[in-house]
Amino acid sequence: MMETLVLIAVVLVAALVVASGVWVGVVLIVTVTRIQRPASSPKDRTPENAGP
Amino acid sequence: MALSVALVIGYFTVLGFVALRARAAREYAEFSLARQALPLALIFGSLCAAYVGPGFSIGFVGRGFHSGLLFLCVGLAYACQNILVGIFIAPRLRSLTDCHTLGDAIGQKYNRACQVLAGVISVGLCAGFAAVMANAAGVVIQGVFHIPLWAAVTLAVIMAALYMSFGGLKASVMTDALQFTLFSILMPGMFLFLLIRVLNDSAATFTRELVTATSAGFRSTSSIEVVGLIAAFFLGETLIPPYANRALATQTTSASRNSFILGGMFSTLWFTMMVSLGIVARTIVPEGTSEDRVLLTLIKTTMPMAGYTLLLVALISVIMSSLDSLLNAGAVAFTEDLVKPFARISDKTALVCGRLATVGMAVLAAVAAVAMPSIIEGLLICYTIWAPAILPAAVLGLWLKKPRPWAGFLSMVAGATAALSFQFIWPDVVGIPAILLALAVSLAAYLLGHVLGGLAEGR
Repeated sequence: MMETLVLIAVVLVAALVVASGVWVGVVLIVTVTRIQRPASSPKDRTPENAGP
Repeated sequence: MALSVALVIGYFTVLGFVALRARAAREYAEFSLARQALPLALIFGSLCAAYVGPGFSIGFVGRGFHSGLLFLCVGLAYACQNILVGIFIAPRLRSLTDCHTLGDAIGQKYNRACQVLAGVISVGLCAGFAAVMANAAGVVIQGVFHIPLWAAVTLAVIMAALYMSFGGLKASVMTDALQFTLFSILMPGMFLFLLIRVLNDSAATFTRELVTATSAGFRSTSSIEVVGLIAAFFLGETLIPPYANRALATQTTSASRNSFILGGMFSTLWFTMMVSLGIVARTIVPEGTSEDRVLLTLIKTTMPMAGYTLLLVALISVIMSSLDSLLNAGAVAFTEDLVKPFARISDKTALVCGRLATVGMAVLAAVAAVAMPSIIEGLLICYTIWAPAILPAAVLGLWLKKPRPWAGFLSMVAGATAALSFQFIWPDVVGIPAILLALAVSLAAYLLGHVLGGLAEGR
């Protein structure tokens, strides 16, 4: 009984480590795919390209 | 062999892609603090990747192999430290304005001389830590490519310096997050594979080995040694420059606090898994295997070729993420604490200075890497110097209402001198661990400086 509990505990620990990795991985993918070219600086925003 | 080389090259390509997506830093604030715009998950992953280096992976497996759960108790001190830093220190540090480094914080709380001294200690310690990481990276890469150690160290250091010098902290955090994802999926995968496939009646064998190793560990380690190790792990990495930079780079003070608290909780899980891997290794790896070779031998003997290579990639990730963080933190400390106090430089010059300093740090780390002792020993030397030299001044400076410059300066000088003396000149002077003695000296010097500073102000 004790042996099984120890084993379940270490498996649970490994699962939590994987879950942390997946969480960070998902946020990283979202961040990497969302990064776009930098916003134009104020001096670039002339009336012609400012939009409606 | 071809598969190993292809996977390692593939790993470096993905790493390069993520670093490129992070974009080259165009301003110093982007290079040093990533404009304080990084989300909690990335800071958390990066923080964990920075501290999970070879010591907390290869080293912990080796210690688990020899002394079972003893080192898990020692590791818990590290977890507590992270949580306490998250609750009490990180939010205070993050709330300082225009602060790029821990030295900067010390400069704001005391004076410029203290900032410069903190800068010298930060740069020196980052170089020392980076040398330990470079050495470990060299050992693993050497195993893949079968090239001389110096060439393997050079390869690792050049790669890290390349993306660090262009991308700065943002590239460091994003590549660290990638590396965190890699190793936190691959290492548990290996652990579960070993539990299921290698240990036949796993539960009973595992528990028996756990009890045997832990008893042997406690029998062979004196209580004063245990106290020394707990002190070293509790204090030695507290607020080292890469962690302080991450505390400063978060979007908000609460994100700063939460990233450290989550980092502390993750470290408990990680140490449990690494020590357990060491215990599993006891049934597979020969008894006399040296501490730093247990994990590599375990992987080599048990994993199929593809798994072996993937795990080598995971190990390289573990090491590279710590190495790049240290190079970046050392370079930012050099620019902010050692150059800026003496010269008014433009933002562009500061950025160039940071990039050149990254390269300089990389060269220093590569040269010092060949002289490193075992991974854990190398780390313990760095811990012994960092904690007494910086912590009293930094922590008390952040908490006291009017910290006095004399106190900070004396504490740093006395702490660093005492740590070096007790570590290298009189290592066994009274049988008390060097870190504790030096910390006591540093605190006494702080008190003396506080009193002297008060007297000087009264005149």
